[in-house]
Amino acid sequence: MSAHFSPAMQAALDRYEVPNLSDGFADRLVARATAESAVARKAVPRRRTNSPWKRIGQTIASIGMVGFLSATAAAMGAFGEPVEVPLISNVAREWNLVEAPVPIVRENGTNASASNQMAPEKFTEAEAGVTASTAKQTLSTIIEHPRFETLSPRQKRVVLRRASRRLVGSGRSSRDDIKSAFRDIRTERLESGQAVPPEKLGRAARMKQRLDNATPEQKARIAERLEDLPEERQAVIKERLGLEDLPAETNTETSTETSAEPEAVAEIPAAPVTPAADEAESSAEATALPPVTSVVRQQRIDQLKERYRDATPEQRAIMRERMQERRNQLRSKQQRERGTMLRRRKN
Amino acid sequence: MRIKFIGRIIWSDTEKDILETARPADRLDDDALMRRVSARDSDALHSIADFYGDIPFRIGCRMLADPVEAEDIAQEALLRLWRYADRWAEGGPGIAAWLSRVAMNLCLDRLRKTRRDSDEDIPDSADEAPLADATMESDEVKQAVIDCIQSLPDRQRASVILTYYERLSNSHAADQLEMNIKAFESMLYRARGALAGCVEGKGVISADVERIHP
Repeated sequence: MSAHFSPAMQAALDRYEVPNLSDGFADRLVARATAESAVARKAVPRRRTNSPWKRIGQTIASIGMVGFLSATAAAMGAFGEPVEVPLISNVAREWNLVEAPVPIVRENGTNASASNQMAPEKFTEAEAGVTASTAKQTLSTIIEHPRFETLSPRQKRVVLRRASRRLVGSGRSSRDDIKSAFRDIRTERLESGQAVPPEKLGRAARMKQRLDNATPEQKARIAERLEDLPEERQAVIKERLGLEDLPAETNTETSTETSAEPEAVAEIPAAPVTPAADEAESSAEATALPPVTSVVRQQRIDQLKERYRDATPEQRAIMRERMQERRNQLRSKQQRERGTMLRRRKN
Repeated sequence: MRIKFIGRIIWSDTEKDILETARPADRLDDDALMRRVSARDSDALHSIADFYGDIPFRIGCRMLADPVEAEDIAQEALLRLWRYADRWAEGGPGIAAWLSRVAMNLCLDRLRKTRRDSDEDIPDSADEAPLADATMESDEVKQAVIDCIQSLPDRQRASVILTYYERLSNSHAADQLEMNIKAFESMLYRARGALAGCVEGKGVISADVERIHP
């Protein structure tokens, strides 16, 4: 310390002496201290503030922690149904803390975001229990999975598309294999009657199904209607429906199968008991049964037929009039329903 | 008289002999004094002011070159000791070191505040006007030393005062200024050089030396 200065320099520095504290310094100090203590009995030390960077860091960390906890709570289902949160949901499922969210199935399948959000995660091959290596077996397993039926068409498409991509990506199947697999599955399901229900089919498919289930009379009527159309239109319709020819002859036998057209139910009111009325009714049914009355119960049809057969001409005329009225009512009702449906779709 | 060091500053053997803060053996221990101060014993504070009040005063005098402000510094340092006595950690470096540190920080704050509040530019050299005590003593050498010390930058001045006048080791002085020891030693080296150059430049050393060592 002092050795760093020369003796002459030290001597010069030592000349710098300071005076003594003034007299009564300690007394003045004690007086001031006790006066302060009288104001504030206990000295409250000033709270030491953190640096601004530390405060900002704490604020950001707090916000991040709140967000993380909220996301975790949402993923765990604290606010109702568990919400799919990236990473957190995966971890929660891995630890069996929460079940996978059930996909929201919409009847119309119009909500693209919902379908895209829910579908892809649900049907992995492992979940569906797929062990087969071929594309057909893989896709069949997914399609036959019970939960697959609960999905909307759009969600089903997403699931199958993903499964197909996985198959192609893994090199287990080619694109052609996938196409042929889908074709085979569709054919098999159609043949086994597991195909999509009529209300979910396209218009052409619905018509084809209805045609298959139609009675000979109905088929004859359809054939007549087709003949009234221009030839180009006939060709288009036949091509769409896969028809080569329709039975031209009129058959009075009633099909034992019931059609899948639910709105086609036409309940014919009970005719007057007079023989003339029954006769008129039976003849009218034989000639002009509407093509949309295919879901009427077989017993009721037989009953009406007998009544019509036994009816007098006057009674049959009355029955025909009533049938005509009933048919008009049905048509107007169908038109109203179609209008309502169109308005809903537009909305 | 037997001498006991109440403060826990570690001094070298040679420094112990000249240490101004050496206290008689019958003085109370620092921790016991602080316990009494914490209990709001004004007599204990009075004792501390008597025993240690000159440490912050000396530092204030040499840092600010103004005995009035130095007394204010000393009073403020001791009042802080009174206010925050309940935070006293026993077994620490002692009251002397604590007061020394607080006084130095108060001086540096005051210098900074004075410079910030002053509209005038910082003078390149020390004020040539003699101080009151310097005028009274009319000591040419002392005045030269005061001028040169005051011309040093604040922290260089503090390093010289702590190590030369307060006899602190480099590590303790660096700790009081919250500096790295290497950085402190580098700063102290520059301060010594500047101070020696300044004093020698005023031409007061040779004559003085002859007077001291004829």
